[in-house]
Amino acid sequence: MKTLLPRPKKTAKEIELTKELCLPLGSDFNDYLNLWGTPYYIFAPQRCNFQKGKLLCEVYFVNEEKDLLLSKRKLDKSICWLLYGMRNGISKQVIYQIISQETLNQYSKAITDAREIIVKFSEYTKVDLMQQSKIIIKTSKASDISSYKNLLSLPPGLISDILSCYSDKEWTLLPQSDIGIMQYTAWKNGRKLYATYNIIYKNLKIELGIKPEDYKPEIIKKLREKSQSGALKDF
Amino acid sequence: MRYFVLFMVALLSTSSVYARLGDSYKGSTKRFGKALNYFKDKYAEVGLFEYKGFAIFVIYREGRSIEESYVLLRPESKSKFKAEKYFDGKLDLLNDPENLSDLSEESRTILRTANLKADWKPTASNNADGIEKMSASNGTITVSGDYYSKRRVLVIKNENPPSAPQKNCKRN
Repeated sequence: MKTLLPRPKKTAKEIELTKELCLPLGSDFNDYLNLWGTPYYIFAPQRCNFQKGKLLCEVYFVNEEKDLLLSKRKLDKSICWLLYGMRNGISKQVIYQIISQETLNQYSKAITDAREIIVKFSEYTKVDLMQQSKIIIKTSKASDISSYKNLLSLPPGLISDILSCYSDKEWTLLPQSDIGIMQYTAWKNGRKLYATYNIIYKNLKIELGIKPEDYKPEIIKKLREKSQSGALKDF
Repeated sequence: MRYFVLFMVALLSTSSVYARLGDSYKGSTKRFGKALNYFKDKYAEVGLFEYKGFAIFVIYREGRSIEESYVLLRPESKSKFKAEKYFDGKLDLLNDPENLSDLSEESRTILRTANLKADWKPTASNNADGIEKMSASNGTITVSGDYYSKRRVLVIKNENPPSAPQKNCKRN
């Protein structure tokens, strides 16, 4: 197994800058709002897109509460476009991308407009068709920023910084799974994290492993105990 | 004698496929013709070529090839591969072993030796997870040549590539 090359020691300022980009997986949607500001695109309750400078971040959430309410038709489907639809989401996967200054300048108005309309409807729990159309038009325009033609390759230094931000344990390069893909893994709190850089799509995806071997035995034991005690609640 | 001639023809047609680590993009195009897909930006340079039934995906660093992946297209997959317009779509085809033929042991040996004329030896973790792991050294250069038998891909890689550009990660 190969590991990432050691990097020069970072200054405190550089470490702080990287911390601005990362939240542990499993964080609440509100933590992302606080860190990244208003998203420029929402596809609730699962997905949200943020932008900070030239960096784009697409976050996928688990939102059992909203999923359940939607399946019981106790929520209007229009929450799909609303901040309300994202509330109580817990992050499960993050994708980082980078754009050029030129692209950022080109899309800055679209991003501002998208954020404005998202903020405008931030307290709404549903919207009518006309309002929906307005939101879709504005946010879709902004979402084009992450189209393939606008993306740049991520600097290896940034990839390395992001990885060390997600886990300070050693990241190991895995055998190639696909052409054009580099995949790393590291432990974090008894669970395996995977980081996948796609050289063609120019994105870095961070996610938690879900296979049995991605959990340390003590974590599996805890999960079993928790599920057993949960099952016994109704006795 | 007839078999010997046939073997030599097969050997020569395979040996001309190698891209050789250290080639520039221009060098690769001289060897294989124009890339089917190619992109270069500040931090990455990659090219995809097709030559004599092989598809070759090359990663460059500092203008020199540092990693090459070789696959042999099945005859019936060639038209599908040619018709696919997009880079990612082409790679999706190459990442599906159903579209590929196995690389014979002879082809693997030829491709490895073509990239580094040295004594190729299996590494300690050879054949773990169906990967035939081999490496060779020649002076200061160490090259790995791993064959992923399930995926039908041979990846030849410079294990001491020039360091990647380390531009700062300044954000606005």
